[in-house]
Amino acid sequence: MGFQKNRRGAGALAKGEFGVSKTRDSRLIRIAGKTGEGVDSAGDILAHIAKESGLEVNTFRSFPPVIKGGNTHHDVRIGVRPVLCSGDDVDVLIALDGEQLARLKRDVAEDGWVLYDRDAVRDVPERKNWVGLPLKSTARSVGAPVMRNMVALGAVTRLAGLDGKRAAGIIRARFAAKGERVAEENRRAFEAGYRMHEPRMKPFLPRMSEAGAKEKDRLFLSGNEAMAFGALAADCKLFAGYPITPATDIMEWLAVRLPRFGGDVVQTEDEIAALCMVIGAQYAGVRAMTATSGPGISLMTEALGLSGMTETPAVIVNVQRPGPSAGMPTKHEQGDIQHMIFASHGEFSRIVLAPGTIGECFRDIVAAFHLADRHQCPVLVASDQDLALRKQTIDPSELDPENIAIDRGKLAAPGDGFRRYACTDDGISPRAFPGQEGMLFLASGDEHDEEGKIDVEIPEVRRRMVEKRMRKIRRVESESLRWYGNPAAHRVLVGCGSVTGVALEVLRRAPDWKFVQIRRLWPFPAREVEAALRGAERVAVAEHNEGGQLARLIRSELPIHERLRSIRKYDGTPFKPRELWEAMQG
Amino acid sequence: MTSSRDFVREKPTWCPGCGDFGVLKAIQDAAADSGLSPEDMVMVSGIGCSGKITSYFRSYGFHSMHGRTLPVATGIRLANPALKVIAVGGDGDGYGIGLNHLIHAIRRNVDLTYIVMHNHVYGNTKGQTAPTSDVGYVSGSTPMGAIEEPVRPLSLALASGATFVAQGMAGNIRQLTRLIREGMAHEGFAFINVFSPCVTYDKKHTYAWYKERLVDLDECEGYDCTDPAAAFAKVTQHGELVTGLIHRRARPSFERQLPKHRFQERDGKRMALKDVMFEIFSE
Repeated sequence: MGFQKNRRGAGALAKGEFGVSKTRDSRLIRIAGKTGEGVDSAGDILAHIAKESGLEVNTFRSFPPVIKGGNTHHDVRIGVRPVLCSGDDVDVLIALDGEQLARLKRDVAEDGWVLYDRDAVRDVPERKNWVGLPLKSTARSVGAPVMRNMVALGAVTRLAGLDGKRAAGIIRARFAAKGERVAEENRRAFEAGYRMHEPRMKPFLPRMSEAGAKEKDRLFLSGNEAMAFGALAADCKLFAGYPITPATDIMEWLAVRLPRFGGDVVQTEDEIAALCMVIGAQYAGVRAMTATSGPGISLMTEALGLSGMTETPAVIVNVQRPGPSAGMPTKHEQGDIQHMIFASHGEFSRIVLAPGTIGECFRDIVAAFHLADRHQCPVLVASDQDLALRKQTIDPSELDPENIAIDRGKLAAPGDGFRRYACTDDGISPRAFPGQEGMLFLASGDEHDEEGKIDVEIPEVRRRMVEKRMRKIRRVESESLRWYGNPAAHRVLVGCGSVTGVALEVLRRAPDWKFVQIRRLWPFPAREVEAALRGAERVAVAEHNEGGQLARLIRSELPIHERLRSIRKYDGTPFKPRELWEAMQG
Repeated sequence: MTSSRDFVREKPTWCPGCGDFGVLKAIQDAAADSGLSPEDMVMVSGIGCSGKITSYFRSYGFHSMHGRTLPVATGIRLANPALKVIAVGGDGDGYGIGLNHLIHAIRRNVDLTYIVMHNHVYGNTKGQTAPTSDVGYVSGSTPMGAIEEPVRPLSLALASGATFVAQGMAGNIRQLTRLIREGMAHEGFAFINVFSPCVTYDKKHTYAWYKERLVDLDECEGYDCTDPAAAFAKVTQHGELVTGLIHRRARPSFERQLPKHRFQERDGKRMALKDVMFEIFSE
C-alpha cells in the first residue's frame, strides 16, 4: 500500500486527454493489414525505434484466429510518460488495403492521419490528412511488393518525427535469420518510405522526442514474457503445457531458455496431462508450472483437486480469454475470476494472485512458486489477454532477478517421526521427497490420515484432515492490494489485472478518485479491502465480464452493497480510458 | 540387499483369489531381485481395485486420479531421473479414461515401467463393462450385452511404437517377475499388460480359462521379439492371448534426449539472469 510512482501525474494533464487535443502526451499509431503481411513486425520495429529514442511505448495486437488473410492491426502508442494501456483514438492509421480503411476509419481522431496504399486502394474520397502513398510500387522497385509494410513504416516514422537512422540496426537484427539480402531489401524499403515526399506530412512528435531525448535504460516486454522470465528466476525446472492462445508465448519463451538453465519444457497431449506432470514433478521435489487459458483451465480442474488433496504445490497461469467453450481465442476478457477461485469438486486451499502490470507479472510468478511451496497447494496466477500480449517499456528495476531467495517451505528433518500430513497449528505439514532415506510416504487423492494412509471410515480423521487443509491459507503473505491516487478521495475505482493500466491513466486526470487494485483474489483480502474502501461515497468496480464477478466477490465478503457500482465490458476488447472515465461518471 | 518383504506395506483388501495379489507379489520380487531399495522407488497408481496397490507396496507412492498415472509418473521421472518409477493401473484406467496418455507416454519413451492389471471388468464399481470386455458381456451398464469391440492392448502398444511390450499372467508369478525385472532394466517405456482375473465379477476369464489358451512366446522357438511386424503377426494370430516378451528394441529414453543435455548449466546463475534480461528485453 502507499503512494505509487505515477501519482505525481494525477490531475496534472491538460483538459482534453480523452478528446482531441494537441497537448496529449502520447500518440497512437495503428498499422492495419492482413495477417501474414508483416503488420506485426512493422509495429514491432516502430516500437523499438521509439524506445531507442528514449520514449515510452505500449503496443497492442488485435488479431483474428486466422493465420493468413484475416484482418489484423498492431497499435503502437508512444509517449513521454509510461504508457499503460492502448489508449483512445488513433492518431495515425496505416491502411494496407481498402478493407482496413473501411473498418478502422471510425477509430481515427478528428485531427488524425490516415496513410493508405494508393496502389491497393482506389476511389478514396479527398479528406484532410488522408494521404495515399505508392507503397506497393515503391516496395517492388527496391525488392518485392511484400515489403510495402516497411515502406509504410518508413513513412510513418518520418511523420511521427522519429529518427529514421535508428531503424537500420533494428531492421538488420530483425531479419538477420532470413539472410543478408532480405535484411538489406527491407532496410531499403524502409528508407524509400522514409524519404517519400508529401508536403502535408509535418512531423508531430518532435516535442515528445525532445522531452524524452535522454537515452534511458528501458526494457520492452509483454506480460507473458515477464511471467516466463519470472519462472526462470524462480528456479522453475519444468514447464509442461499445451499450446493455447493467448498463453503460448510463455511456453515458447521458456522452450528456448529453460534448457540452458537445466530445465525442461514438455508439450503434453492435453492440459490434463500438463497439470498432472507438474504435480508429479513437484511431488518429486522440483519447481514446476503450467500456463493455459480458459479451455485448458477447464481440463485442469480435475488435477487442481489432486494438488489440493495431496498437498502438492503447483503453479498455474491462466491467461483469460472470452469463453465459454472456445469463445474468442484472440480476444480479451476476465471471465474466469470465479472459476479460478472455486473450480473443482470438494474443498481445499488455493491461492489466486492477480498481477496488473508487467513488473507484477514477473514478481507474481516468483511469489507463486514461493507460496506454492510454503502452503503446499495450487497457486493460480490470473492474467488476461491484454496484460499478457501487449508489450510495454518499463524501468529495469521492475524486474529484479538477482535478489530472489528460494524458499521451499517446511521440509522434514530426518529422524523425527516424519508424518507427511501431520496436523500442525497452521495446517502445513513437513514435506519430504522421493529418494530421501526414512521418509517413505504415500500421497493420495483419497482421504488419508496424518501418515498418508488411506482412511475413509473414521469421521474424526476426515474432519481433522479437512480442517487442516482448509486452514493452510489463513495467513498468506503476499501483496493483497495496492492503491493509487488521492488518499483523501471519496470515490474509489476497483479493478484487477489489465484494468490497472487503463485505470492509472484515467487517474491522471481524476484527482478526486483513487484506484484500488486487487492483487490477490483468493484468499480474498477482506480486511485490507474494507480499510481501503472505508469512508468511500462511491465505489465502482470495473472488470471484463458480464456477471460482475469481481464485484460479486467483494459483495460476498464485505457489506457494501449500496455503495458499490459495477462497470462491465465484455465485447472482447479492453477498456479505453475515455470509456472507463465516462462509466465512472455515471 | 533387499528382500521382497521390504516392499510389503499394508495387507491387501482385494477379494480372495483376485489376480492382483499375484501382480503385487511379482513387483515386490522383481524390485528385490533388481537390488532396489524402497526409497529409490516411486509407485504411481490410478483409481479402481488396481489403484489400491500403492497402499500395499512399500516405497514412495502416489495414488493419483483415474487414468492419470502416466502423466504424474512422467513428471516424477523428469524431476528426478535417479528414481525407479513404476506406474500401475487397471484396464479401465489405462485403456478407457487414460488411453490418450498411454499412447503419448509410449511415443515419448519415458523411462518408466507401466503395468496394467487387465481383468475385463470395472470391478471397483461392481462389474460394469470395461473397454476390454468381450462383445456380448452382460453387466449393470450393458444389460443387453456389450456391443463394442474390446481394446487390443498389445496391438495398440506396437502400433504406437513401443520399445518394450510384454504380457504376463497373474497366475504365473515367476514369468511375470522376470518380465517386470526386464521392463525395469529397459531404457524407455516398458509396457506390461497382465491378465489379472476378477474372481467376483468375471465368471468367464478364470485362471483355468487362461491356462487353456495362453501361448508362451518365451518358449516359442524362432520367435524374434525385435521385429515389430513379427510381433504384430503373432499377437494377432493368437487373439492377443500370448505371454512373454513380445517386442523389445533400443531407442534412447525421452529423458536422455531432452534439450537441456546440450547445454552446460551456466555458472553464476544470478548474474547470468540479469544478462539474459538485458539481452532479451532491450533488443
